[in-house]
Amino acid sequence: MSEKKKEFSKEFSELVTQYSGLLYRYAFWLTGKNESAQDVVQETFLRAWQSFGSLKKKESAKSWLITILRHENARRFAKKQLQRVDLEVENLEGVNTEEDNRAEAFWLRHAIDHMSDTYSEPLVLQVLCGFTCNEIADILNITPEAVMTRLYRARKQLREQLSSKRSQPTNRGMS
Amino acid sequence: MNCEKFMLTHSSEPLEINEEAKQHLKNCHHCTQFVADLQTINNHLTSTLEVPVPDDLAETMKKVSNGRE
Repeated sequence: MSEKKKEFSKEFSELVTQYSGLLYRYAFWLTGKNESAQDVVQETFLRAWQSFGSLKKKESAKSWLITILRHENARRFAKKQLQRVDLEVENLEGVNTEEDNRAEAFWLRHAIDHMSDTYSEPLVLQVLCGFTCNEIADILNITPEAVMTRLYRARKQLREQLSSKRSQPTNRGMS
Repeated sequence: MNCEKFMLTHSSEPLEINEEAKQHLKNCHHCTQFVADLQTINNHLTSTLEVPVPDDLAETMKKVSNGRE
């Protein structure tokens, strides 16, 4: 293997180390299943490897990979783009240890799953991936102003549902 | 800054509260509650989305990528 190719391979390997976890979590959010998420991540890295030479700036690697992953997921589920299934319950085990937090985490996952993708996807890209409004705008191919509006509406929906949930009586303590 | 602008700005960039926004918060109970609620939501969102990653994921991905060279 030539030195140049070795260097190329090393850089890609570093990319895999750095972003495989993030890509997996994003893919898991999209697919709701461990195996599907791993498949999508695998396809993403294969596609990324084929066009690694086109990545001009390393700083753009994260959004570049996320964009590839979105395309791979759309291709994989051509007629069910971004449609998610119910979360595998066992995968939330250990995420939170407190009962209240777990209950709210389950509730939140349910609320996001039932939110329009228009609003949930920018939210996940921001919270999970740490993208700015401008980066999300590039990934989703919309304006930064549209991203701001969607993030506002997404959080507004969740806040309203949170308020509604908190005002409901619970069965705690009842036999 | 009014409440509408504060909420729009804070919802889109919740980690950044500029001076103008801080001044608004000092005098607005409604937006203070809004910030607290969003903080709760963001904390839960983070823990909900950060599912455990398979231990061998990165190594598996490297092997698969190398195999296609």
